[in-house]
Amino acid sequence: MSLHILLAEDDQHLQAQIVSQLSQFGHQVETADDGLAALAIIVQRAFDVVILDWMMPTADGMAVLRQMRGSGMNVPVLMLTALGQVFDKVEGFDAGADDYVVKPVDPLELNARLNALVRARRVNDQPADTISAGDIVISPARVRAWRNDRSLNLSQTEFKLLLELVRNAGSVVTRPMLIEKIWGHDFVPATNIVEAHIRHLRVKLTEHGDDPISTQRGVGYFLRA
Amino acid sequence: MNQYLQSLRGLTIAFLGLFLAVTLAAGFGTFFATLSMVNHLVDHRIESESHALAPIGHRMGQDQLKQQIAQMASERDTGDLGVLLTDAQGQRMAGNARFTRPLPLGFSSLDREDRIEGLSAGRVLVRDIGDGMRLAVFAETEPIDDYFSARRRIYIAGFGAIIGVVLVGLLLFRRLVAARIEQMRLTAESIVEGDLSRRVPLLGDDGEFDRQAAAFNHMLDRMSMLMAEVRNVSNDISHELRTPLAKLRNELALLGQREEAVPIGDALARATEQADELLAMFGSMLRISAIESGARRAGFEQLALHELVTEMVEMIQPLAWEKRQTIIVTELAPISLHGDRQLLSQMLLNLLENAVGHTPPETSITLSLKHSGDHALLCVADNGPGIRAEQRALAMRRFGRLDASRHRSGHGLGLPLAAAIAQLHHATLTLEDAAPGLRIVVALPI
Repeated sequence: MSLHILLAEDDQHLQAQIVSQLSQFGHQVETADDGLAALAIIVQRAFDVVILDWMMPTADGMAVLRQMRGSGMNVPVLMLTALGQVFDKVEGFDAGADDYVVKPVDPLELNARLNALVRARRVNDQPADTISAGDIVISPARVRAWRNDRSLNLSQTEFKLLLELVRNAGSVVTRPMLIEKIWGHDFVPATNIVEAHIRHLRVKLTEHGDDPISTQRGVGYFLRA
Repeated sequence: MNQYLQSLRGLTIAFLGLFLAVTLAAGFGTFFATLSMVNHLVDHRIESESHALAPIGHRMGQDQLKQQIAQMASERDTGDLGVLLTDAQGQRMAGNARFTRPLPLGFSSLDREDRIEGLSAGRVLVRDIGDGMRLAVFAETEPIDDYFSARRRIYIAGFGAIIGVVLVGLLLFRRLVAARIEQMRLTAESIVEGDLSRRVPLLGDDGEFDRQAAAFNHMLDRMSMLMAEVRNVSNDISHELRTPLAKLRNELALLGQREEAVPIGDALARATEQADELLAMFGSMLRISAIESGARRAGFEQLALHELVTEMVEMIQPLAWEKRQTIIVTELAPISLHGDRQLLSQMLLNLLENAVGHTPPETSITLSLKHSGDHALLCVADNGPGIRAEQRALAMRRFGRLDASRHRSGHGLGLPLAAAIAQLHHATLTLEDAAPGLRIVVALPI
């Protein structure tokens, strides 16, 4: 999925690095060097997603975000935060941020999250009873899932896991993303709990077909679209 | 004894004892000194009266003596004087008084027991004035009725009031001192608990206590500055190492995505995972120091601990199944407490990961949550190999891994992180022998 992205980041080195990395994933990236420049560009053009650095001159990321939400712009926003800003993210979500990534930025994680944000917005724009990915159909409202028209008997956690994978089918979903979405935790467990849950989900999915989930080691999981 | 005197209570009691002794001695001293002075004056008076009636070395006739006695008795100002003249057989010859007992020669005291009309207590002088006759002259030592008991009452009231005032003053003083010291103790305790922002309140009177408290606060300022510096250094090291490491890791992960990397994909993935383990270590170190700073207390909320337990057991369950381990929740009391949801979840998960990860397959893990007085007791026990008593302290230390051969069993920060989370919640985390196995008990105040 090729996205039109605005990146507001005052650190020139980091800005160039992120632009280069996101371009490799096929995205089209425009940049702003400070908060006011970002606001000026946002009102002129339409973006799929906006990346705001928290700390910027002229207007920081939070100020830009509030200004955007205040004027009714609902484009997905991902915040870049420095390490160790524990409470900032609550403030960020309250102000209308959709997600955040801690510096130094992991490009694969950033890419996965950007894709997920844009997808989530599209799914919400088209309210449907069921979502599908390949031969998998899932109904969030009824908490039911099927593969090849055969009902899957999933635990609550397995269902949430599958829903997240289906929503992001065709893109990588990282482990921290799953921990956040499914368990609501801001920490990554020391043992590979996510891997174990995925294994259990795989067992149930492969009862009715081949394995649709591929593991990208060191990155995350990928459900075929 | 020296130690006793150095304690506030000991000093108070010693001072009070000394004060009482000195006050009583002064009271009794004054009482008896005045008594003996009065006796001395009265003795002097009856001696001169006696000599006036019967001068030494001057023999006078019986009739003349009787007449003088009668005259003296009739004089108004001698109402408190008594005279008795007896003959050799002890028979009364003249005088205005009677005695119920024979009196010895010389000075002696009279009291109520002697039942002398109009006299409660006094002194008497008995002299032999020749021909076997004895002249007894006595006078009251009490100028008013019940003079001595009145005086006793005055003494008790007077000295009692002094003792009372000193006692009350001492107690108030002691309470004041204890209250100020208590403030210091409370401050020290909250510092021990990790709240470095607390200070001893000052009254602003620039008294000794205020100056002491100010010095104490100054010391705390300095200490927290030094500790912040130490923490910053270790945080800086973690930050500084973490950033280049994260960049390296990201480079590796990106490399793994490239077409030409397919043949070495597994090796790259392993390298990435190793970098992830290192990053997780730095992450845990930074998290421990963030927890120890106490800042997360600001985000405490009321939460249902039993629900977190259920969630975390469910989260770890697949890992346990894969090792054919069973997790049994033996008791799950509904417990609501004030805390950090994320951190308590992490603590629970760490304890469960510890139990699942450090025990062999087919181990049983039991978990219970129950009330115990004003605490919630969380126990996670397994019937695995356990930790020997002498190694338990090591297990609680950062990087204190017990078995170097267990390569993939975590980074040695799981239990210290759990302990830091417990401490943030004013809870204690202890390792016990489950015979066999390890039991970890967390006692959380509700």
